[in-house]
Amino acid sequence: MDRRLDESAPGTEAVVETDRSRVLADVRRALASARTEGKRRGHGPEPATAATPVERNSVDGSMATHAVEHSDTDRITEFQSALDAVQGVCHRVTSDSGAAEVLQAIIADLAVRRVVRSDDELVIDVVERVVGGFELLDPDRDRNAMLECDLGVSRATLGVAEHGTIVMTSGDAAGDRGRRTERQRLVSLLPETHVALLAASDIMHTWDQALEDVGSDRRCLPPTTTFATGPSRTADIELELVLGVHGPRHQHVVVLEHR
Amino acid sequence: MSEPAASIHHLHADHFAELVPRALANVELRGALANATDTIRNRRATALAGVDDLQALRGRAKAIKSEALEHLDEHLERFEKTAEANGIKVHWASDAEAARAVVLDIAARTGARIAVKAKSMVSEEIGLNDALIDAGVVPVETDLGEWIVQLAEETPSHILVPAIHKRRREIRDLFARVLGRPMPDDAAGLTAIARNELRSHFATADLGISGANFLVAETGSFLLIENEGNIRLTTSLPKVHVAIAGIEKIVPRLEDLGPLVRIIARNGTGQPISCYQTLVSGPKTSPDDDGPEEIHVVLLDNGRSRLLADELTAETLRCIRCSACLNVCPVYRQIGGHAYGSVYPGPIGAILTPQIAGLHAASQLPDASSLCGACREVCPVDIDIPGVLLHLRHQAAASDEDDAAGVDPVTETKNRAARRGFGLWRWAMASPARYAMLGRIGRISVRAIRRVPRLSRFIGPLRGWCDGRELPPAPDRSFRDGSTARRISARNGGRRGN
Repeated sequence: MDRRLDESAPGTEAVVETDRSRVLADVRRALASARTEGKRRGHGPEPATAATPVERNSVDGSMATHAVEHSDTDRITEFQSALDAVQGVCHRVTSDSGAAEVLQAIIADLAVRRVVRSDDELVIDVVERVVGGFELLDPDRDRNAMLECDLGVSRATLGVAEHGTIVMTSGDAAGDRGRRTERQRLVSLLPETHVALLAASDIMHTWDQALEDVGSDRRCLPPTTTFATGPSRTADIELELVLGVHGPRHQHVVVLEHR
Repeated sequence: MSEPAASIHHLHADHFAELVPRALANVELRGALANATDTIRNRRATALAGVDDLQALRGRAKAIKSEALEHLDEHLERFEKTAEANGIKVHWASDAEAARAVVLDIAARTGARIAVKAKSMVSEEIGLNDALIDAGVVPVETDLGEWIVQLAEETPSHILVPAIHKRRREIRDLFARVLGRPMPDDAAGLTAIARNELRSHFATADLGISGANFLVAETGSFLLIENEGNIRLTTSLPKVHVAIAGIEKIVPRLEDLGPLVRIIARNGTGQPISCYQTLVSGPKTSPDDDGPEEIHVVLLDNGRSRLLADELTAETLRCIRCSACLNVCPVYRQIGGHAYGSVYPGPIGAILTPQIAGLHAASQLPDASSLCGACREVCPVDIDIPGVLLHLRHQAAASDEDDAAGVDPVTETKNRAARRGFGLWRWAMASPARYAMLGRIGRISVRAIRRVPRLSRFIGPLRGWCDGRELPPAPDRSFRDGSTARRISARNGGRRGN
């Protein structure tokens, strides 16, 4: 691909190109000298022909231990206890209306006044089933209001059983860059409470498997993929754990066992 | 080794000898450090206990980083190609000045007034905040610890917990002074204040600046790891996002991320996994979507490439900045991060700082270690930190003979004294008569010094040693003249000595 340089800043090109060639030349010179030195000592690195393949996942414990297929129920249970361990809340439902009931209860519990949702069809449907008592914000018109919004609802693309992680892929609403994506970045991040809808069939065993699934087409990754495990947290003041610093303070995941 | 153009911002590691006593005298700091590092160590131990085959995971992390470094040029070029195909603009910077220029250029072109920043060591290294302020852009640190340190006009003292040296009371008073109103006492209350204050900056910022934990050559993506959510905000709200990364942050393949994500969280904060990993693979693809319109990556060398020329020094570049070595280091635990006089403290800082900025600027840091080896034992990518420390000490000692690297005056004086001392030792050890004579002089001197109370604290080389203890009494006669030595000698067939 051609280096597309900024037209509005003339003179940048020469500077950028100089630094590029200098960095690469310095790296190559140093590597060449290490190779010569290594050969002299007789245990140097391999010559730079092709990348030496690192043996994939033969030893790293994660994929290997989970290679045995668990049942769906085991996976959901593992997801639930992992999320519980990081102060998240997992709800299990067996119908879409069950999901709406959970959402309704959360909204009542936390006295939520303002809600935003993503543009996912399931999310739209579930939020529609929840009856009144709150204001539904339009994310297009009201970004500043979103900063003070109480609760956001979006769909998780995938789940990770081993850590209780939800995976959220963002992109354009039409999803024409490969896999289905939704507009959830701010919905899942700005409000104090985030509720994610997760289909049981989308729960993978490991973080690595989820990444592999998201990146199945290596040339076409979603613009942003976020792996979120529990509510946001900090320990920057005397190492005391505090939940909800910049991201959500409450992380709810509604697992739809029928999906 | 030629004089490096690379530099580290606010570096004053040549004042190490003065900074250490000051840190040691701060009893409150030492208490805070001991508590904090103990807590992180315990959390780390618990997290690692859950890993079935820790050494295998460690070996894999090491192999990934080693492989990346062995062919760094190819991976960098591949990353450039794949990232630009994703719509990410890639910039190269051979030193700190070039990196600052790239960021300032982007800020000027986009008319940025406020830049929200996610915690980035490399941004501290290149002194980006001062450069932004000079250019009329207000940098706002958004990581809670970094924000505290920025408000206090200090520098981070720990790679992962920037305000580890600050007690809660200090933070409360600092917030009250800066914000001009009374503050709550508890950590949760103070954190909530920070959340609200920083929200307004996020709402108005036009530039987001972050580092990057890993750059994936295969897919042209980069991964950001965090717990607070401020990196997600920094990379989601402003129109323009700039990520600055050292060239050593490259990994070849997407699947290399899994083991590294697992090992960095367990070693850094003692979590099985950090709260958020964000994989950025490009700007938003539709005008209606959230996220930045422009994403830039700055690939920074700043002296790193030189480390590749030697197998041992190249190990330094495997570092994933987990900071496990800081928490176990008996030196760091006593003196804290600021005494190192560098943005990179602790054992990793003691080897990284002199190698990046040059030995002349930080030749005392390789001595800031007892070589106990705890740092290497915990290092998730098995960097031979004690080995590199010895290598650098050797360079520092050799340098004023052949004038190759150059060291600071303190090290030079120490080197000269050491050389004289060992010269005298060699002279004495070469002859039994000279050895006996020197011993006699020693015994007489010790007796003389002990006759005057406290005198030992003021005499040359004894000063440091006797600061906290008494000079022991000298025996009346040497061991060789004593009855035990004679008995051993007789048993060995009358041979004298040895």
